[in-house]
Amino acid sequence: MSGLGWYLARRVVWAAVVCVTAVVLTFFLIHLAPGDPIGILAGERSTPEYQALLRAQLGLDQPLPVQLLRYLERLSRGDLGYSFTYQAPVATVMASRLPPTLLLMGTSLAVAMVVGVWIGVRTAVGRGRPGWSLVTVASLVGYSVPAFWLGQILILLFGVMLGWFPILGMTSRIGATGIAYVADIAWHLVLPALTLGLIEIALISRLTRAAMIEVLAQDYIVAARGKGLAPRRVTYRHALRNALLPVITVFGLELGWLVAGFVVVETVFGWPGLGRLTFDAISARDYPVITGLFILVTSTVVVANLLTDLLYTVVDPRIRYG
Amino acid sequence: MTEGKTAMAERRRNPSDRTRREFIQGVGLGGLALVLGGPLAAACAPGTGGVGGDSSPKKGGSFIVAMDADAPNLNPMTSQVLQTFYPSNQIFDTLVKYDKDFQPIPWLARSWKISPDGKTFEFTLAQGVKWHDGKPFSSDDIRYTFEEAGPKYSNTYTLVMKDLESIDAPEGKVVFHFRQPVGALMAYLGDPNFNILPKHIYSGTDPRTNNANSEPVGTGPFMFKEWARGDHLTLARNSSYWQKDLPYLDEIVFRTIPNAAAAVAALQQGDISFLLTRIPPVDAQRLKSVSGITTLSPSVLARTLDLWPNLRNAPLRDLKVRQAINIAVDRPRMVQSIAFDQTVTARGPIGTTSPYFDSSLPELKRDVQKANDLLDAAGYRRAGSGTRFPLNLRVVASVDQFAKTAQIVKENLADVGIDVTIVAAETTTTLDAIFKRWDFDLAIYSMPLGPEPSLQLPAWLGTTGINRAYFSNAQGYSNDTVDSLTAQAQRTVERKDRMDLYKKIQQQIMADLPLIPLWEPIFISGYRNEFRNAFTAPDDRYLNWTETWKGA
Repeated sequence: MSGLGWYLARRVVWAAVVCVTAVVLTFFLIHLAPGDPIGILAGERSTPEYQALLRAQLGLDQPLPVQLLRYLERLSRGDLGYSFTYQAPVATVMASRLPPTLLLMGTSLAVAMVVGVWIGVRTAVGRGRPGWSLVTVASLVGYSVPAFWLGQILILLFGVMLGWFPILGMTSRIGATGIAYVADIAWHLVLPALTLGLIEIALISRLTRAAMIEVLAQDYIVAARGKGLAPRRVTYRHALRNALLPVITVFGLELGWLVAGFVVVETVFGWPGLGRLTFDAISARDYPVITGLFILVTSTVVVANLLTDLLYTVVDPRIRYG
Repeated sequence: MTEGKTAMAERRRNPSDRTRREFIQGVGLGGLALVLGGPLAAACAPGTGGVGGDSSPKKGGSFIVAMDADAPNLNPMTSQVLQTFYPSNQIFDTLVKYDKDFQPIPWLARSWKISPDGKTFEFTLAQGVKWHDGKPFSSDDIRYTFEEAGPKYSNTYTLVMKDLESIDAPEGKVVFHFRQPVGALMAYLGDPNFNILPKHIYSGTDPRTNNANSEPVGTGPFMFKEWARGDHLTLARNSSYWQKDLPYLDEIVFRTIPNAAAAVAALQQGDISFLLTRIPPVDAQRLKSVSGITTLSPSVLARTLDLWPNLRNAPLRDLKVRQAINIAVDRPRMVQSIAFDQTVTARGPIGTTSPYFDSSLPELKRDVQKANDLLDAAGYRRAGSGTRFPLNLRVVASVDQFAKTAQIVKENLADVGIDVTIVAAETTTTLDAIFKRWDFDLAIYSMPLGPEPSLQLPAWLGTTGINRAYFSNAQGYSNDTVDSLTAQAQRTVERKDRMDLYKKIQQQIMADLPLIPLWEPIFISGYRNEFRNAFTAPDDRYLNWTETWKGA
């Protein structure tokens, strides 16, 4: 096997270990929270006998290690279990909530990357000029602002006071199809994507700026300029390509934070995605769904980091594994 | 009038785009509309029957209902939450339903006979009833619901049916035989939890995980059409419904709108037709003067919001201390500042909207001086700091009405030297602390004793209810008189005889004070006046839109 092959094999094994550890840790952590799902599931009319029956039906009367073993055994067969609150397979529940989150994530990330990198480059190149200093300060503020606060401010300003955008949900017009449907969703997408996007832009622009400043001071940049290359070509083709490396690294690490951001933003905006599902599941102590979500997040972060590392070989031909 | 206002606002935003003359004309017209609109709005005031003279129902119309959260699934037996009941009440049928006064009205059961000893209930069933998939309905489905599914999956079952001996099904009828007289059967047969389920779909499967929970098949006036989870659920008219010429509406669409303010705005703009139980009292007060919308909050469950003392704890064990707290709290202030005078103060464990409320119970007036005297007499003098003793107060943080009440209680009790620390937490944590661990001094909670208190009383206030189950007797109250009166009421078939027993129970509870009633929470719904018969049930739990129609 080639060097890259061994590298990949090691990474995959390591990824599996991380995921299983996360599952086990999650399992014990969520059971540490006081209470269980029975109260909310059984309802105020329920008798103690009914509550005991329900507990047994859901397997919650077993000791914790036994519950964990049962769960792991089902997991090894690819079965994520049944949601207590939705009474449907966890995989189905999660799958139905995935598209809205992907839409929100894709939109905010795409916008943030394009705008953030552009701002980063401009503020690095235009260092010292007053206009861009303001942008730098603004990006610091943007990065420090909590997502739930920003979201509520945007709702208040653009949704309630100005009335330009709907204040929650993904759709307003029932039965809309085709262009009208797409337009309706797009209109609802603006505020939540903006909330996440602004914070991401702040981060990406600062990272890009810092990296660009360092790269622009390098000898090879001076040489390129000396050769008479157009400034634009120097900036984007030579400098940015090298600057992107640390940006990608840090961004990969930030993915974990992004997940938390999604939980908050989707809940504030009532966006029917995985983030809101997480919040609802934790409130209801829907253990199978919570664990299923943690597995999804862990594996996503692990895979993303692996891809990031592989992306390096594309961006920087000097880097090789094996 | 709405159009005039919007156009006016638009013009105001861009005065430079219009000539001055147009601007002034716009303002003038708008003003005229306001002046003329006044008397017109008064003519259209809610409750006067609406505009025009159309009083005969016509078919058609889309009815959009806003709920605060998605239904987990549509099986009313395994999912016992209101968000499931609201849609499933339209998809399924029960044996009886209830009118505004909570009297049973015929539904799948067209008539009934109750034996004088209260042990045998015979129902004559409707004919020509079919399931939405075309299969015929029969008493087998009733037997499946009550004999197979109920005992295993319904949380109300053991409460009501524990003395069920057998169910017979002679031609066109169904007969329930009980070992003991069941006073409350008719009050529960129409409960959403007892919607009749299709045997041919559920028998032999696990009702909890059956696919039909997401695509239900019922016998009801509306059929399942489509469900985009988290967003909307659509039901279409059942054109082969067994009640001729019903329903009137073409479809009902349930929309999930978690934010109450957004939902109220949507109701006013006409984007939704009906808003379920979440209109904040301040908005309800404002909506009363808005034409075209009716707000109401009928409730037969007759909840009261109470302060629960943990009777195991030292100062609260003493009756004098509880009596002092009882007259230290400022109930009118709660009703005024939290509910904007949309409801009433509580005088006992059962709310005034219940047919069993004892109207002889006095209004509880605040008397700080007397409260202080009682506490002094109980031996809890004020220390140098002015405090007699501290207490913690548990409350669910996310229920606004509860949380605000806790604030007022804290201030009220400070006036009599009791230092209250509020412990507000999320629902599950609070339920666990109150019911499972008994870890509280005071708690703010609400017990649903309706519709028939005799069934619920043992759990919340009976000796047998002291068992650390959820929704049980967390205070630790035990009184043999209350226990035996309750047991007697369960066996009493005549409603007016039960009334006498309930009166005695309420009097005893107010003498012992295992709970301190504060005020009656209301859950205000609203609907647009073009819809007639939009709320004919005695409580939102039983809401059914079979006879709702859309006027002009």
